[in-house]
Amino acid sequence: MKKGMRKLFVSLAALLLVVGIAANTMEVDAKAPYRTYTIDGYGLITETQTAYLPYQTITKIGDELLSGPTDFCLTNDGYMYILDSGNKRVVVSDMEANMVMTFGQDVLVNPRGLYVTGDGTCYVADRDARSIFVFDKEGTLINTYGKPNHPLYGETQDFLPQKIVVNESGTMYIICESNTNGIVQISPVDGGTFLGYFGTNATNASLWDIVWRMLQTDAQRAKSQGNIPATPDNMAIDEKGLIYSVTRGEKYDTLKRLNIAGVNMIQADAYEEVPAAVAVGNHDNVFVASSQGYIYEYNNEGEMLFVFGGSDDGQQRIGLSTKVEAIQVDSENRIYVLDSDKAQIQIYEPTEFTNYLHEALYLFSKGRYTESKVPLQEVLKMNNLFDYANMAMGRALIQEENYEEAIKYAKLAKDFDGYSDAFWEIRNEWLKDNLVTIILLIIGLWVLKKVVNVLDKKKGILNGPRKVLAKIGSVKLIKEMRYMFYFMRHPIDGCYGIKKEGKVSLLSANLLLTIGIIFFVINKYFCGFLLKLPREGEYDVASDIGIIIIALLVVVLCNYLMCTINDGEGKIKHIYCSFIYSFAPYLVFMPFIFAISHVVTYNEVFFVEFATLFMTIWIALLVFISIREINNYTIKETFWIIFLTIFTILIALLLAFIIYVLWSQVFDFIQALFGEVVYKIGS
Amino acid sequence: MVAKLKNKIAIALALVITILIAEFSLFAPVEVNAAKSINGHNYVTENDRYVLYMNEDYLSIIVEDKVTGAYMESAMSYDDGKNNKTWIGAMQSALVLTAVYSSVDTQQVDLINDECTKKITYTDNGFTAEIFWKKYQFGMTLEVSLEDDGVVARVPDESIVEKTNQYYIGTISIYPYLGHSYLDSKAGYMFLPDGNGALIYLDNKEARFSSGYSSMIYGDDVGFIDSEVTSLLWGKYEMVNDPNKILAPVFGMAHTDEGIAFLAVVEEGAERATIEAQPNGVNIDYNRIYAKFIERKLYTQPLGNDSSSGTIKLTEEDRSHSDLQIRYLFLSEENANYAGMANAYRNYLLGKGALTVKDTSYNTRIDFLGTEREDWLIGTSSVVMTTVDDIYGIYDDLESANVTDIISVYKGWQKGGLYDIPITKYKADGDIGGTDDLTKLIKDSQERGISLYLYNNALKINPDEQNATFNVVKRINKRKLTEKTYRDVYEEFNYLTPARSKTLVNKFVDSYLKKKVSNLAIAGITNNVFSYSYGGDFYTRYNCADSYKSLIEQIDGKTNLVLEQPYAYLWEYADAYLDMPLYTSDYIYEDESVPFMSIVLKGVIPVYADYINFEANKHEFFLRMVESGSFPSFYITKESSSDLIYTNSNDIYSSEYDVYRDTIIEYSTELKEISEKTEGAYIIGHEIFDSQIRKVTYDNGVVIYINYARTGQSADGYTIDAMSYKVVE
Repeated sequence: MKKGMRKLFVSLAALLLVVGIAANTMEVDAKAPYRTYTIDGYGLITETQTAYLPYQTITKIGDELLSGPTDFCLTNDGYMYILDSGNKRVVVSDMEANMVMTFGQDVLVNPRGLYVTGDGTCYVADRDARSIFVFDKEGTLINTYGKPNHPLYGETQDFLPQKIVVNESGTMYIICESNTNGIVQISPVDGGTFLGYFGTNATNASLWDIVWRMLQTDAQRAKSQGNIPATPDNMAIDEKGLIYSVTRGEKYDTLKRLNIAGVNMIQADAYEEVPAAVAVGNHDNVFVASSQGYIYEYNNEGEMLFVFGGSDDGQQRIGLSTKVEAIQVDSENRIYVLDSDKAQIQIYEPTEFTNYLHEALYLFSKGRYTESKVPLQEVLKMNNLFDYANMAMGRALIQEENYEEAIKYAKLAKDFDGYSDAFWEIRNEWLKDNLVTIILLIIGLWVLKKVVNVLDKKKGILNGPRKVLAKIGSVKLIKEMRYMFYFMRHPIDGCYGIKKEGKVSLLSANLLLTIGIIFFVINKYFCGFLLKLPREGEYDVASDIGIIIIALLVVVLCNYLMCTINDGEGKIKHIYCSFIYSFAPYLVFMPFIFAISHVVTYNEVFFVEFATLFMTIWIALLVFISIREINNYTIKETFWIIFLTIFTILIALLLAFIIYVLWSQVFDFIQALFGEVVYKIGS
Repeated sequence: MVAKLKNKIAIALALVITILIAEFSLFAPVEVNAAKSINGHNYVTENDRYVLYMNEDYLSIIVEDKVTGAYMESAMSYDDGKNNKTWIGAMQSALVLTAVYSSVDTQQVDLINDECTKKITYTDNGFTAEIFWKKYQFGMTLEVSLEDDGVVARVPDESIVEKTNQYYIGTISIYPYLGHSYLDSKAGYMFLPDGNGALIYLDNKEARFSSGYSSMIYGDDVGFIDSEVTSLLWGKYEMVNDPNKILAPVFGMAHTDEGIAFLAVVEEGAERATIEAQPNGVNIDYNRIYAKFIERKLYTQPLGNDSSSGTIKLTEEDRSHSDLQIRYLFLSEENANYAGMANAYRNYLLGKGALTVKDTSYNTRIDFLGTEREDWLIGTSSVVMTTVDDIYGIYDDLESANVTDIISVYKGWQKGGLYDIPITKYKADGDIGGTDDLTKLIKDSQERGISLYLYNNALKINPDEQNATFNVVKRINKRKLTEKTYRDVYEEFNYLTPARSKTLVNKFVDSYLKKKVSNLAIAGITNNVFSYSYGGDFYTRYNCADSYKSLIEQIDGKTNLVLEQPYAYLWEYADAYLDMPLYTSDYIYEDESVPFMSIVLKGVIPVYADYINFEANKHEFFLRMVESGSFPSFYITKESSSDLIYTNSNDIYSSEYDVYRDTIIEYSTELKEISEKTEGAYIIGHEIFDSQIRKVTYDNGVVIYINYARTGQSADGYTIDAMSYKVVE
């Protein structure tokens, strides 16, 4: 036994020696445990291939473990400065996780943020020491900045520095806890001069807030929580000195790129609710890490390229995080993510796919469109549906004046502007090519008409067709339907016709309704790409039809109810028919609007909008007149009845909702009761 | 006075002598006859190579290699003093159980801390022990025997008794610490069947991991899962991929410094067992790997249909019924490694007839997608991706580039498209050319040496296309099992009962055979087993696996069958293995990924890898195929995959033939060349060098070096370029 023990310890010691040298980093193979998503033209999330793979995990620097690290920084000369907050020190290592030095043990109290400048000067934001400590390259403390004593800083305002970045001239940008005025800007001149606040977040009051505050008394207003702007959570600085900040709860303003005046210059199309850190990439791209471990990559414009990673809910798989504090990108586009809970740095490496995309991104942003097509083609080979690539490809092809191809890509990417431009060119081309033919055709038709007219006068060749048409026109149903043309031009007489002369029937009204619904559905799903509201590939015809019919019935019914108790003369049939006939302009205009929608670009979209507006006003007028005429009201009474009808509709909806809720409760109760009885009998 | 003194001296002397004798007798066997006892374990029996020892108190065993003297023990013999009673009990007992008591199943029951009776009988090649725990009123018989290839531990089903309604047996672990090691006291690794195979080194993990590997053999039981707790992005999107399912019921432990290892095969009860591997630092400082059999499982029973109506925790009414049996195949010296384990497993399967050698000549797998559906005004409309004529064209085009060794699986060939499932008869979609054209294509292709298999997912039913009121599976809590797709056209699928799958597949096969064609690719039922309830009865995973196995066996006689990622119990029926994973699930405690499954199957049945289309690092994936001897798979459509954007298949973001043509030709040519040198040969050795080079040795003498490093490296005197390989004959 003893012998065994000794042997054990000897081998233990030997192994420790061997392991100690080589076990600081772990390499892994290529299959990510997380998914990667990108965003499509409708702002929806779609899956794509892995953009970044876990590459290495640094758990130890030299022989030493980290303890609750909160920030780190990579330098251009290949060092990592890690703020080992739990051990109150800064750890410097090379990229292979070999220990270089540590410093700051005697000074730091509760350090939260760190920044290293190009010359190796290290700034540490220490929350509890209420100071910024500056160390030189050797780790010697060379400067300390405390709370600025400037009237503008605010006398009662505490100084609790959390994060820091420094620009080339040495100006410090500091995020302070519970300082809602913005990022504190301190210049190194004269032992620290307060320059002012920077990039303050705006407060946003919703309509509800405003109404609510108006109703409150002064005392209530004083008591209620003030609407104060949020403090940024983290920031980064790029080579041009632009500051990137992330603030939780700011929705689409979560990520900001602030210029020298503190104005935001980026608008992201997707945002993270709990951002922890931000970093600037090498291709004008920006990375945001959420504290749960999601990593977002945006391009220059704020379009989200990827989101990947995830939180480790006990699965313990490589690449998932527990609590992310900081993110950095190295010159080879690897992403470094610092996890304070796991006390490790996880490195992710871009895949072949991402490398192509970055190349394209770079070329495209530099305006080298033709060159960018090569990597874009590779990207699209690997993912035909990658939205950014389709968009960029479309734009590149527009530059090359290859509009036929460009429009395909623009449509796939839902790049409406690109589509509009390409379509304009294609249409222009078509017009140029066909103008002569068109003019000839028009002249030809005109001549033909003249000839036919002459022949008709002389020999009556059109008598046959005319007879047939007259015969069809004399059919009662057709007559009734044609009445809509009369109705829309002479609504007062038209109503009289409906009311007294029986010019229309329920059948004709229903037929018109059916035609209207068909027009509506066709226009909704098959109108021109630029004007289409539902997503491509999205169809929900059943509910379209349902909503139209239910809405019509509710309106007619409520209107009828109100009319009967307000001395209206209208019968329900007349109200129903006049309502439908009031929509006659829709039936007349829609085919034209539908046709035009296929040939307009954003430049002429005005035509469609105007036609729609014109049509809507016409319909509204007809509805108004027919309510008045059918019931024989004055104008004042008509307005009153319309108001009452709307009110009744609201009451009806409320009633329907209450009944639905009650019924579902009863239903659930019965089901639960049944379930429990079955269970009791079963056991 | 003197006499008294003499007396005292005599007594003292007597005492000393007794103590000495006692001491001597205690330690004497160790010193004098080491072969007969090790660490309190006495000699039981031996075979040509190994000796079995046993301790009657703990029923723990030691297996010793007679030649090298190396041994593996099932009971902890070095106590680092940090372990409490419960852990010591777990680390020394032959059996560690959990008892289910009022819907909690965490109470540990072992042979040391809990009072029990043991009746030990020695047999010709081992022993049996009848065990009964008084407090819990349950018991069982443990049978251990030393056979030619190793040790078999078994608990027969009929021996398991539960005499009260108060305590039930929850789980049973047999020899959980067999082959364990303390921190980094031994060099070696644990082998776990995650993906293709993974190793956890027996080095000091410095308490970095809070938990280890715990995964059910043959995948999680969907019959029990109520709500999937996954990490969702924005509360909606699943971010974490499911880990790989365990394809074969094996695990292993190797002490490479001492040249001893075992591969454990769970022979009985695998469907209801988990494999547990815990490196040091997870609760205690010992490395251990074992199988845990689940007798009774807890589940959540909702009382109403909405989430507000509350739930209760219930225990399965009946325990699962199966013998529990693990065979430890012991390996020595040069075989005591993962390659040795894989070889031992292959030999074991071949010997048992659970694997038969098939034609393993090289083929490139080119799968086609026929038609899919997208939403339209009324119902859905067809999206045609690859027609029968397109396939003729693609084959012709590839033939002109000298690629003729092809197999294909045709997906979405049936009337109604890819997700009009289940398929009940042989009727092709008119849009791809119709049944007659398809039949002709299959026959014509066969003549030019290309096998075209029709894809049939026999597990799922699409409730939007077919009537899914009856014959669909319910979970144990009697709620219908639905699988959400998170896509627009078809939002969910249900599972058919195994009986229904059987009826429908047979119906399909009969109508298929009438046309004198018989190439069939089966999916769904090949890699799913679950507990379920149907018509008021409960069915276990054993029932489910048995049904599927008998179904596959039945149609195997009539058709040429390839199977999609089948579990080990179906391997013997597969003419080809489709969709073999080449990676692990990337758990942080896994140190290395090894091609275990590939070593087992190489040279026995042809193995096709996952689709290359969706690999982000194609070049590395190619090297993986070279390393594992797998054949490449492509998922091809004639039309651009962007056409699929509004279908349920919108995850196929790259598949167009024109895009992949050159890759197909390049990969086929290169891999065929390698494959011809290794055809029919087994992989007998696999080594990983520090320089990211891997060396694969075939039994016909061919050696392949693969360099995954980004710089050129050398090994055994050969230089291998960066991200490249070298074949040495």
